[in-house]
Amino acid sequence: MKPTPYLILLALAEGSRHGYALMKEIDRLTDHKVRLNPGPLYRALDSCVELGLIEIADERPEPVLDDERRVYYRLTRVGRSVLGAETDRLGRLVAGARRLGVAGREGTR
Amino acid sequence: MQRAIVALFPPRFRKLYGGQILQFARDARADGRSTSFVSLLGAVVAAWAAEARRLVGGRRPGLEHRAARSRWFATSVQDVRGAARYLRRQPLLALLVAPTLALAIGAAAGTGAVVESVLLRPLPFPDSDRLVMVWDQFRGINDDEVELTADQYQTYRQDPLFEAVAAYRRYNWNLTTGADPEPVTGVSATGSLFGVLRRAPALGRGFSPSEDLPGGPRVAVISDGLWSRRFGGRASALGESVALDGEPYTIVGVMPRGFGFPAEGVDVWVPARLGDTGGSQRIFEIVARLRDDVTSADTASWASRMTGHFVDAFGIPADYAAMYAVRIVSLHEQVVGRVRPALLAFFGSVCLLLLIAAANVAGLTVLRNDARRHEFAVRASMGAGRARIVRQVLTENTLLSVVGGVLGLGLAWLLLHVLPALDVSLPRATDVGLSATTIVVTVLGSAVIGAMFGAVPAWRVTGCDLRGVLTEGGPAGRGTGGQRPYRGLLVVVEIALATVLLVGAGLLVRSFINLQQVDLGFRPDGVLAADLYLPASRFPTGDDRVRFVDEALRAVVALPGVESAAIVSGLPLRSPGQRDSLTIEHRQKPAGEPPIHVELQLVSAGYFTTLAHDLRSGRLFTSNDTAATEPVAIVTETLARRFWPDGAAMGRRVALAGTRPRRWLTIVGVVGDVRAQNVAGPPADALFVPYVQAASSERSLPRRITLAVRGAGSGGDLVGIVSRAIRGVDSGTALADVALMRAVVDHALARPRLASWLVGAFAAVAVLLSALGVYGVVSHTAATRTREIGIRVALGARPRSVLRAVTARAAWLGASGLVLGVVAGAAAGPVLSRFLFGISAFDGTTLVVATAALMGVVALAAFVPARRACRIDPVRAMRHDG
Repeated sequence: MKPTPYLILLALAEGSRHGYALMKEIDRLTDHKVRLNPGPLYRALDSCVELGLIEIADERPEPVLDDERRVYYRLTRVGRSVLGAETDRLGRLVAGARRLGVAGREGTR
Repeated sequence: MQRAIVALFPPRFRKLYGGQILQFARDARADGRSTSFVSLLGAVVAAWAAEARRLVGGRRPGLEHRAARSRWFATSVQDVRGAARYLRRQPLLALLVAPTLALAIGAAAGTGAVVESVLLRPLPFPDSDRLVMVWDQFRGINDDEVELTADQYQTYRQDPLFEAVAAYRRYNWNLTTGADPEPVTGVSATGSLFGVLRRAPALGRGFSPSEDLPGGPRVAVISDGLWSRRFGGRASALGESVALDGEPYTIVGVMPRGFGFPAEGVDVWVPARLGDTGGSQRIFEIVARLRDDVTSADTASWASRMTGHFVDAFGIPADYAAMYAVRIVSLHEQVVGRVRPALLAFFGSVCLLLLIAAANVAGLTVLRNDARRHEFAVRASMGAGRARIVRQVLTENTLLSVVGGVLGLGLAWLLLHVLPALDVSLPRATDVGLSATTIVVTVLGSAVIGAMFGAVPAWRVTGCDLRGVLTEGGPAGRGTGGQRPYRGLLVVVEIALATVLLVGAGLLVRSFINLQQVDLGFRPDGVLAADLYLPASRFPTGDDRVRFVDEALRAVVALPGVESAAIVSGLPLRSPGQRDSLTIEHRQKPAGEPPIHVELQLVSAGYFTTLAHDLRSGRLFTSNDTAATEPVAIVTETLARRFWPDGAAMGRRVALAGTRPRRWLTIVGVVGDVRAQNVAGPPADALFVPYVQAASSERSLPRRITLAVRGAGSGGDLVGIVSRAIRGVDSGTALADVALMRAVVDHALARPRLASWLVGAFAAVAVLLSALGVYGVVSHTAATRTREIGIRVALGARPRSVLRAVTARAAWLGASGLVLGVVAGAAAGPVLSRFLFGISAFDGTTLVVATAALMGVVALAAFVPARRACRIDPVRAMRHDG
């Protein structure tokens, strides 16, 4: 799985979000290492929708807090299980790498 | 801009996500972030690619596709390599063309970046296009915007035209928290300000309604800069207190980084505490947010309605009513309006220059390709398709202009970095930078220019029968020569342009030299100036201020390295003095005479020595002029001569208009004229009064005064000790706006200096271009006539006659260009003369020198290739011809 769709699924794990909120959540999740621009973000959203991983959410926050032009996305059941499976796979990969003694700069601290 | 890019997406994608992307950009703006156009453009390309894949059935590129693609790629690499090799073999060409393009592209990209960041980019407030400023205006008397009263604010607040209205006024405070007092600029604003701007504090909150009432608690919102500077960026700064002029204010909020309203560098916002109260003092500026459905027609009719309303409300007399107007202007216009025409005109001329440069390069390419017909023909005969050759030529040109574009970007970057040093006061200067958009547009633009102007020579290559060239012989074959009228025209235009620019540059440089030699009326070198704010809280009465000033001056004069020091209400070219008008004793005022305006300066006794004013007659102020002695005044020469032409100003008495009962001041001295407002304009009439005497009258020493210190050296070395000395007298007073008078004078001359530099640079480029053009024409003539020249030389023609034959056309073109240029220059004269000082736009010397210089360059450019033609060995020329 490519990193961007994975990050999108991850950012939606806690609930539905709209585009800009997604970007901010991904920014936060990655310690400000990944800042998605709207173009790539919506292209990735498009492919996730197409693959059935996410869908447009119909529940919305209070109208006063919100702008109706925003579209909220949420994980589908498939998306949630894909997220779990991919997380497991990455975890095993990292665990394997650690067993081999591979460590980046953060690991050596 | 974003809207335009979103429109480029494939329809399906746009329908699904276009609105969301725009909303994303709005959200980002509300957060104070910008959205990258480049990534959007990239996404457009990617989305189209994906769409194309979708159309062919979602098939990934198969092996066949890949092979074709890699073949295409390999050919391109081959082309680029070939082009690079070719350019290496022709270093002169690359050395001429790439810098020409780089210069033109650099200038265009640099100004483009300024235009983009100052004029096009929206202000950093959400939906900033709805923000307006409201002013009063008295046309003919005071064309500038006039501040409004609290009463007007209360009226506007109720007005359905606006969603929200805020009034504010600017302050200068001494920030006295902690060890070092620091001057800060601040704003006292109604609580609605942050709502109008739709920007909330990043930390804490804005003003609550109860804090914005008369007698409310003293609270403050501070800037991110002040927060990190004085409070180490601690969140606990909220609730701490900050002392402004000794008054403690509780910090309730910190604005986000980059927020600056009404100007960059404002550090503190406090509530105006107006509530519903009114007032008739004109002290407020008003910013408002229009309702969404309000159109510009609505605002116009609203302004005229309001004008009528306030004429009645203020009871403006009939003869002034016609001058009064309510003026509503968009905030963006308010910020950048003044510089827009100049910036756009400048950008336009730079683009013109770029076009001419590119056309010139194209001319050069045509010339070069004519010489390469043989090579092309050989390649064609060996099986290269025509398309292949066109592609090669295009690649060469594009490579050349992309190299030029990249060099140009470097130049633009350099330009933008020296921009602050050029000392032009440009609004939003901190926003100026090479944005990704500018970079992409520049690189793409230069590639497009390269391809466009490469297309001309490329078509010419395909347009002729290459095999014919081969059988016919070399480049000198029949039917390949001929004069191209468009290139001749180009050269004429170039030379004309160069003439105009060179003459213009010469005039501007000489006008700048004149400006530098203007007698300012004072000697700026070695003088240090700094402002002092004397807040009412610490110095409640005029006497308190006088006492402080006395002590401060004594302390400063006692410092080592200080020759003299003085206090003044405003220094020439730096801070304007008070405008006032005079009444002259025993003088019958002619009917209809306008008031006699003077700049009133309150000075200490040492002022004239410190600034080195020339005393023309009478005496200077001394320490014997005190509050108890006869009120005295010193006037400037022109003023004295106007009313007392016989030189009998001494002992006459004048009074300032506002004093009741009249307080007569006896003129005791006349000093030389002073350029107080600007260097170029006529000197302002000034009236000097000892501040000790003024302080005892109703015009007391202002809160903001200026300290001038003359040192033995440049003055710059005094800052530290003077500042310590002042703090020794009063620990809460800091020096603000410290500047050397030399720098102040330089700043006043910054615009003419910049103008002469810029036009000079333009002229240099234009001269280079016309030299290139002439060089091209002459080389072309020489190349197409090689055989003829060979024969003529073989028949014993003298070099001189060959030279004449080859350069005849260039000489004709050059002469036409010069004449055209002089005519165009004469037409532009009236426009130019507005920017000139002490020199006529039709100055003969400048004209002669500039045209002679240009003629020299053009002659040299013609001579070099012509000389080569004369050296043709007749035998080789004939053999080569085959």
